[in-house]
Amino acid sequence: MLDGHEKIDLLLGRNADEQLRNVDWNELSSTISRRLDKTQQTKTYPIGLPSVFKIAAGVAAAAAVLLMIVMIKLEKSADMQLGNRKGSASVEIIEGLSKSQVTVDIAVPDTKLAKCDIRIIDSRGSDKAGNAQGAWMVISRTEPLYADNGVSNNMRDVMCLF
Amino acid sequence: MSNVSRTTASDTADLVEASQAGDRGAFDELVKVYQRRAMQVAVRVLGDAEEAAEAVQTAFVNAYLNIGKLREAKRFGVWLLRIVANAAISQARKAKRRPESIEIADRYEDKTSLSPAETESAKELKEAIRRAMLKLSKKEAKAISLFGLEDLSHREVAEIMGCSVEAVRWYVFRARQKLKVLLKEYLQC
Repeated sequence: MLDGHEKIDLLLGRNADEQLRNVDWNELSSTISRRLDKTQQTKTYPIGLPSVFKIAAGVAAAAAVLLMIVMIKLEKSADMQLGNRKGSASVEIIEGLSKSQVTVDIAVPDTKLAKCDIRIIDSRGSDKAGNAQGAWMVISRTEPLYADNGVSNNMRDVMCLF
Repeated sequence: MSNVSRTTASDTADLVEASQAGDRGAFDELVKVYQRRAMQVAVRVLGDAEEAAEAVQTAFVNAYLNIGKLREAKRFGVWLLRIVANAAISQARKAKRRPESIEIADRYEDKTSLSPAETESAKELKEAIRRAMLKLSKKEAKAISLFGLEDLSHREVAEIMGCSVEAVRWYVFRARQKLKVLLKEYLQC
């Protein structure tokens, strides 16, 4: 008399035998072989190509990040020069001459001096109606030496000056 | 008897080493030698030949892709059956979520040469086993499927499953207990 466990084993075995009875083994090995062929092809080509693309994409991404870092640093550096560092300017007026010189110190560690030729127009007199008029200062050279970081040179000249 | 028994361990080791060296023909030979054993395991897990064939194909492809990682060529059989059992269990879980799995089984059943009554009975049994196996844990399903194979020792089953012989016995015991309840109407006859 078979116990329950043996009956289970027999039942599973019977079903397995039944299922395997009609298997075409040649067909199965051919199907596996075809699948292996496909696998071999995908292993040889498509796996190789994407890795090249992956490397290229990685290099491009790294370059982009590097470029962004450099641009941010440059921008910060320009802001620092304009926003946080106060400059000074002195005007030397030589009596009797129509032109004077301006010296600008923008307080960078490696101080650079810029020189502009300016002309002061004395208009302290009154106009025809007797109203007082302000003095005019004309900067005749607008590209000083230190203005080399892409920020508006004229604007900075004036900021430093006043 | 399967082709495995006719192939000596050294033959297998030679074929494995040749496959590892890139000889595709050698791997095709391994397929021919081991496909029956692989199907026996897969059919016991899945209860259905068509589903089992799908799992066996997947298992052989996985084995082919990873054969370079196999260190001991003579242990190919154990290594392969582990892959087959895992593929079959994975296939069973997929089939559970796929409503058309019964249709596939029916289509395969048409090829059998049984009488209509026998076919119906075999079909019923197959479906019952398939459903019952899904109620087992993965380890229980694997253990009961491998345990019933001829010429596979308890130690080999333990090696395939990656656990002790005692643990295998426990999983088999649990699986039988559950199957006894789940398949009780088929055990009467």
